[in-house]
Amino acid sequence: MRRFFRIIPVTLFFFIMIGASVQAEVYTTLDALIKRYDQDSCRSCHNQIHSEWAGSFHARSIVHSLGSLRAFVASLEKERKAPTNKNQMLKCLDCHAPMVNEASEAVIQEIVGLLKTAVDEKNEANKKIAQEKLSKLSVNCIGCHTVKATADPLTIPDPKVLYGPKGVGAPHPAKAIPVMKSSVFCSQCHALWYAKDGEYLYCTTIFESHQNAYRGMGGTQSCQDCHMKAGGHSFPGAHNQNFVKEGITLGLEALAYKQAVGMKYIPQAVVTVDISNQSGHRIPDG
Amino acid sequence: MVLDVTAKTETGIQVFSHKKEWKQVGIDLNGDQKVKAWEIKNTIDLALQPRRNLIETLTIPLPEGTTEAEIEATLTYHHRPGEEFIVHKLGRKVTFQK
Repeated sequence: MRRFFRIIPVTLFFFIMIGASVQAEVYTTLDALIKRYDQDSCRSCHNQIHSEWAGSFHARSIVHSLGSLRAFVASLEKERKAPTNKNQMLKCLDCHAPMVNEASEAVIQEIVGLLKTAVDEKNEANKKIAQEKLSKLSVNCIGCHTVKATADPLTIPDPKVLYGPKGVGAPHPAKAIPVMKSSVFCSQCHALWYAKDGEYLYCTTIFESHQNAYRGMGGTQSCQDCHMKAGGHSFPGAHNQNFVKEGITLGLEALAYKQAVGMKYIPQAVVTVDISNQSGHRIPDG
Repeated sequence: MVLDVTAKTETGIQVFSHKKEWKQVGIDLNGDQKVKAWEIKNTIDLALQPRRNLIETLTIPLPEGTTEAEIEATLTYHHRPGEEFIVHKLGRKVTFQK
């Protein structure tokens, strides 16, 4: 009984802390959600970073994957007989558009409708309008610097704060968070992804290769060391020819000799090809 | 990613080719290949591993009387269907004394 009374204050403290923790707003229209995540205010001070990001695949994370996203919706409706609700759609959108974590179920249905129009619509004008609207959803500034910033489901980020590796000298609330310099931060999306219902998705397993093969063989670089050199935000990857060249070396040696076959000499070439993967993960990876 | 090694004689005729492919294959629980992420439940790792050197040594027989051969190694990255590019291309010439 004494133990029970000792637990009461601890339990009360726990519930008070949950109540006091910062809860993100839930947006009931897609326009309101897009407005909240508009990056124009970021661009006014971080112009260089913004323009690098705008040319990256993070900026096109929805429109570049329209076919796959539409196929997932079709799979839910036809094969899985599952609702196209937030829990299901977050299996794609948690990474392709982290902002959707703050969307209501009504907004999710709006996005599902737009995905269908953006892919299936015969009328090109309507199709383009849907694609244009979906292009506002992406892995953008607030997606990484707030929604995904803590890389820890038990530490809910403050929606008013922009987190970064430095976290100082900004005219907006800012906080330094060391995990942002670690590969663990990227692993939130660039790894085997576990959904709330227990399903796991093999969109990519690049972090597993980085952690088990690269680091297991003594590698020490982080994702950011190569894909965000000097703090760059263009995130070069397998789509960038020069970047791929940096990660793989090829050597070729050839020697001529004549093999003795009976009374004849048959020309042969002995060729040695030397290939080395200098990157921090297997090549290729999904 | 694909490595192609070819050999051409001084006449320009290709007399040898060798191909090696590195890839990752997604499969479902029946072992059937799948490409949609939500259908994949395991992978077969046939990729080029990090921090590893791979050395392929090939002995290429050439036609009798060949005096010169051009050896070429091409490494091509297949990002997505229709989006392939050459990562590296190297050539070496071998000559034979008569």
